[in-house]
Amino acid sequence: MNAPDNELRLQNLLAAHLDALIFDEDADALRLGASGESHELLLLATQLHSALKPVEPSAEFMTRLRAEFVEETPGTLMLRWRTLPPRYQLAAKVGGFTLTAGLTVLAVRRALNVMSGVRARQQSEPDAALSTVS
Amino acid sequence: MMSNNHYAELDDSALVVQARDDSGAFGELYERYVKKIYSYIYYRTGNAHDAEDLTARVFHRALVHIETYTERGIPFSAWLYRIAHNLVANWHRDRTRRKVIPLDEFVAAGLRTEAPDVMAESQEEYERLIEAVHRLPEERQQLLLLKFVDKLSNAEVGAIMDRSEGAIKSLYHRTLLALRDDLTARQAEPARRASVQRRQGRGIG
Repeated sequence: MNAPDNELRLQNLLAAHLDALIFDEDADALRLGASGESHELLLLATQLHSALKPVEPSAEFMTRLRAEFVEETPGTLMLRWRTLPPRYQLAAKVGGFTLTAGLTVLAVRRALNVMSGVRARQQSEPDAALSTVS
Repeated sequence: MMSNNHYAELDDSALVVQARDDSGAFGELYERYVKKIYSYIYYRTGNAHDAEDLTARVFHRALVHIETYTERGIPFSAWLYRIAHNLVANWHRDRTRRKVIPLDEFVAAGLRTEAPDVMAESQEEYERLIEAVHRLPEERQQLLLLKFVDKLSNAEVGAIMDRSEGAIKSLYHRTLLALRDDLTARQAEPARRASVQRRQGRGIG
């Protein structure tokens, strides 16, 4: 086999190994079957795969930037909620719960006051009738 | 505006057409590519602050020019990467002009904090490797990042770099050879220096 054929074979091997690495297939089988320069380059590719990991932007940045492009609607608000970090979601849940509980207590107290007022009025009406009779 | 589920069913070409008068469609394109574009820019700039700034500029530019974008063999994703590539190239030019201290070690610092479970020795190896990647010519760095970080196929990388799949394979082979030679030369450098010093010492004595 001549030099260009060997080079082409090596290029195909390297490409197949790289695809196996990035698509989580069995890349080791290809590397362990190789020797000499091929093995050296496949080992280097494996090290690159371990060193060059994807990096994610912060959720806050992604949400802020998205808001610059997309009009706010209830649907997109839900999307923003899902991209919030867990601690913000927890804080929002606690805040929401406290506010709801506070409003509920106020509403219940008001209702009880109204009911007791009605009851007092109902009790005073027969008394008033008695006093008229006498 | 349509529901998010509906957007998710559309391919990029359909979303691009819709995005011309529907911000929700552009939002879907943004969701699909923001992480990949950010990752690519992060490794090219070496710090999160500039990566955020340039990522924002990529999408702003895409939104402004989406009216005039026509596919003509270049998929939308490749178009976005080309915008990112041009902005990063301008950023490097400006930085050279302003003589800012290189920030490349920020990437290594970032890796240190992002992968605490990795052994210190391996960490040093990774840092040496990333430094060597940054010494490569621009197009070779671009190829490695598109493949390893963004996990794109050779066809996708070819569309971004305007080359055939065969040319991408060949470039990858040459890039690995150059990287190996650079690392070998750097490893041999301290031993060579020590040998020169020994010889000079004997000459003086």
